[in-house]
Amino acid sequence: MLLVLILAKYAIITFIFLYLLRLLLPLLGFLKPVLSFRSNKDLSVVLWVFFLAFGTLAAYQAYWQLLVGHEDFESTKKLHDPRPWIVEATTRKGTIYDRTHSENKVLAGYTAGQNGELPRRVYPLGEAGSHLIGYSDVERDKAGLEKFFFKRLMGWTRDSDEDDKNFINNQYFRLQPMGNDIVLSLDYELQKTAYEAMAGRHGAVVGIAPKTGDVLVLVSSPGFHPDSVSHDDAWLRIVRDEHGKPLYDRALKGRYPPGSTFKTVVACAAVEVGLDPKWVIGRDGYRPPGVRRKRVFDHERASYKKRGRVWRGQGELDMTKALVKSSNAYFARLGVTAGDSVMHDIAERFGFNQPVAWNTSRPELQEGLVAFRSSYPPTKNAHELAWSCIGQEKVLATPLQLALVAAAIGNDGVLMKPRLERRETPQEWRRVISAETAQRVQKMMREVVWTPGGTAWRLRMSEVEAAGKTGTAEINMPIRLADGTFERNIVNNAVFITFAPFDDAEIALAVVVEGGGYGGSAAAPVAKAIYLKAHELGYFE
Amino acid sequence: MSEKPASKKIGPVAGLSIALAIGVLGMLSVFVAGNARGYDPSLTILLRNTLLLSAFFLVYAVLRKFYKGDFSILIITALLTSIGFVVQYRISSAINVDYQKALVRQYSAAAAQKANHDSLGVDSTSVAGVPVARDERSLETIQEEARQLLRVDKLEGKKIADEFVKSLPGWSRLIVSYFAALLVLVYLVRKSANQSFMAALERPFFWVAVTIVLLMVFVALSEVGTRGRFVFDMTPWEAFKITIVIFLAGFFARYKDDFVRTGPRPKGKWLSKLIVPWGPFLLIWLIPQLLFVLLKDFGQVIIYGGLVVIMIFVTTRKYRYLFGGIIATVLISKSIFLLEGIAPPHVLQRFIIWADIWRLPHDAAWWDNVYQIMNSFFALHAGGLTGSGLGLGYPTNIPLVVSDFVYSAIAEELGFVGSILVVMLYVVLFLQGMKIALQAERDFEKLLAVGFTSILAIQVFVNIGGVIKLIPLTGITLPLISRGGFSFLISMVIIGLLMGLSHRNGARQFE
Repeated sequence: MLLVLILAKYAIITFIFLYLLRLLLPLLGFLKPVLSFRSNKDLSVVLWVFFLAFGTLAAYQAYWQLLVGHEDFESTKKLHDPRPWIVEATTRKGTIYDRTHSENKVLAGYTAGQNGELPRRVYPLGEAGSHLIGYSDVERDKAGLEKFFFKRLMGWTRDSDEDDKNFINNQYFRLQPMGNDIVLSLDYELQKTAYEAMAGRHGAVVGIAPKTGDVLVLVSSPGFHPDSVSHDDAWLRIVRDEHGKPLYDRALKGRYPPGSTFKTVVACAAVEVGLDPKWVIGRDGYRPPGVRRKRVFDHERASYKKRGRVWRGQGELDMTKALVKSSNAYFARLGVTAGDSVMHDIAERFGFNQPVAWNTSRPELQEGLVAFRSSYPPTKNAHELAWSCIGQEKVLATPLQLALVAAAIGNDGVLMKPRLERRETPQEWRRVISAETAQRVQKMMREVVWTPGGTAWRLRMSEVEAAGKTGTAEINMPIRLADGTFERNIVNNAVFITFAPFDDAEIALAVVVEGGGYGGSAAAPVAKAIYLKAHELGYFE
Repeated sequence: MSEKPASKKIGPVAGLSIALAIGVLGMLSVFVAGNARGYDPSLTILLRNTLLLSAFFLVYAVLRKFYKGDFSILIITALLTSIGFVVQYRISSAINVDYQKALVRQYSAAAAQKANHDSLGVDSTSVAGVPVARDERSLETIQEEARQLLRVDKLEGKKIADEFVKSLPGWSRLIVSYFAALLVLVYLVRKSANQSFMAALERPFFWVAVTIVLLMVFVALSEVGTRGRFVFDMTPWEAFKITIVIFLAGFFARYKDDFVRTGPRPKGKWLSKLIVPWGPFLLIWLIPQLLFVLLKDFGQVIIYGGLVVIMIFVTTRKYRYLFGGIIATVLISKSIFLLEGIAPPHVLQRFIIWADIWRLPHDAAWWDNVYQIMNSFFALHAGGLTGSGLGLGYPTNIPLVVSDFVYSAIAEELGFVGSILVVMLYVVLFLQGMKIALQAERDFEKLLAVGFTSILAIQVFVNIGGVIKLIPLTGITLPLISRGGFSFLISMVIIGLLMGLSHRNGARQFE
């Protein structure tokens, strides 16, 4: 149908052109003596003035119509031209599906528009998916996948045969253009469960399928409702929320000290280089040799002191027991023994200090989906190394990076590139540690959950045998006082990494709850809720 | 004359048929596109416009019995009129379109497509309380909706005929004015062969009187503060184009010797004494300035100023008048800022926008001022080289797109190529006028042809130049294409007189 219209346009242009030539050429022949100033010079001048005027007109129009590179014009057009929005509103954009590709688990789609109601672009996940899925609005522009995949959702891309066919259809045959659908690896139910489990607390949950690298969960809390984007009041409330910062994507851009969860990396490094020491950890904690600075104490010391009791030390610890007890002193000593280069190497193998290698063949996603780098900076001395090994000092990790650590351990040491779309074939990023090492660390992490007194005991459940590691990271978030000075304010972030089942992991999770206190009490229940839901959905069968 | 006239080679019937074909093809294209896009092009109006366009065949049928001139002018007029009809049809059917409603209809089309596409319908479910776009309606319902969407029912002949008859009274004014204009055209061509008619035209001061009487009548009738916009949607000043051109042609033809005289001043001729030193300059300066003050309309100043300059030049062949006129125009436009407080603010505003559009701070007030011209630019840019296709663009965001900004709509939907072809059509029209001037027997006829050609050319230039910001924006319409029964009548008078002159030339050659 559209093709007919386009042909009609060219037919009209050709008709006019041909007929114009038939009229113009004899006329020019007749007026030749005048045009060349050989007779009637007054008319010659008038004719040439006309020609000049209309030539200028055509040239000027060509400049504005064809050769526009005018910066001011471009910015004004971007701001005020309604055409792109009319086109977007009248295109049936593609649907974004979750991994099940079913019609009732749509991440972005249209309402039915029955009873004379207009079909409306909706995001059924609501707040839970707000950062990843994003929005598209006349006033606020676009964000998230709605932004990165805009051309694809509008059907403008033509890099696969199917897309190409759609493009041709849109261009020449369809009355209403249709976009291309996108199938994500995200799990609608898990995403929703995770967001609900966060219960409004600030933080993030990232879930990864270790074997394929599928991103199952990517939650940042608090979110914002995509519908509120088009309401001025609601939007202002979102923008002005200094405390919650609902627009900030904590899952990909939040950088947190990993705390004790980093001990799993230390354990991997130690096992990899053949260390398996048994040390007596006393009440003095640990201080690296040749350093006269703050000692590394176990966390029990502070809690005993608070309760008015005296901490007498852990006694003799092997690595498993140290991980179960989450002994700071043991792992600080272990890291220092293994050495800076080993630690640095293993951290980088896990993905620290480098951009996340998304498993995607689409440049727009590679460019658009920005995940901040996690950092493990080189340490200058043993003191820094000791503190780095318990996830403090300058070590910072995004929730995505923590999930990748869990996934690599769960997948017997092989780190898969995180993938967001199901169409990509799973790709190995790199082998981080040997399978034997990974299996040993898996068992250790299982003990953290299942040994009596283990910090992650809240994760015990009959449905699936999970492994995990809790963490509590102390950070100083100064409070700005009225007089402009800052007051010291120590906040404990609850961090938790886990995978399940421990010997053949299907899901790996990282949970961060800002100011949540202990990882075991604040973050582990979130993971448990997700595991229960996943069990319901049949992930562990 | 050894060469045969071009019109004989082309064949007027073929030319008029092409004009009609372009009109019908364009309107059908708009009709189909409009139904797809969700606005409401009416089939009855399409039919009406087709019938109106075919009236040019009638004109030809009447003229061919006696007319010995060139038919190309009539064909070009028919072509431009048919393009005008297409654009008017396009714009008026979408002028108040609600794109949201359009969306509903498009949705139905998409649902029909989708239902046909995947037969395995997953049951309709709601996700998180939001119904997801899965249609519960049966395939029959959806197909019925799609049929309605494509207006298959509208193609029933009887229905269209009924609707056509029903809407005839509402169109009576348009139809009457259209046929009146064509009648005037035929009448003028017929009359032009008459020597006494030409003699009546050649009395300059009679036409001054006519102008003054017209002016007084219009002033008496027009509402206060409408800036010459008349009660009946007319711009009465349009009529002055004709009287002033006839006046100037007669005036310069009569006093030509006084303008180009070199010897001593003849005694007793008091008028030529005054005219020779001051006449041309006064004409250049006074007529535009008077109109400027009277009409507060800068477009008219350019039109009449340019007209006077060209006619003086053709009379005297003295370059100083031509270049003096051009320099004067440039000086006026450069020094317009000095007139602050004297010149009407809206004229000044347009000058400032034209000169400093990007240098002014881009705030809300700026956007209010540049809204129209900037939307015109958006349309131009959206059109690109070959345009979006008839009916497939969005030119209706531009205020006054029906009259002043009609060229932007053409440039968006037919692109640079199409719009420049339209400009070329005008150029062919001017060349025809020049040909008539060249063949003219007497100075008066030559000046008349040059005057009418120039006034059309300047009007086209001022309109298109304003739309693309080559010159400041003015309220001048595009002849033959912009909407307006009265301006169509005036254009037809001009075309009729030109054809009459062509007829005189042709008749003389055949003697």
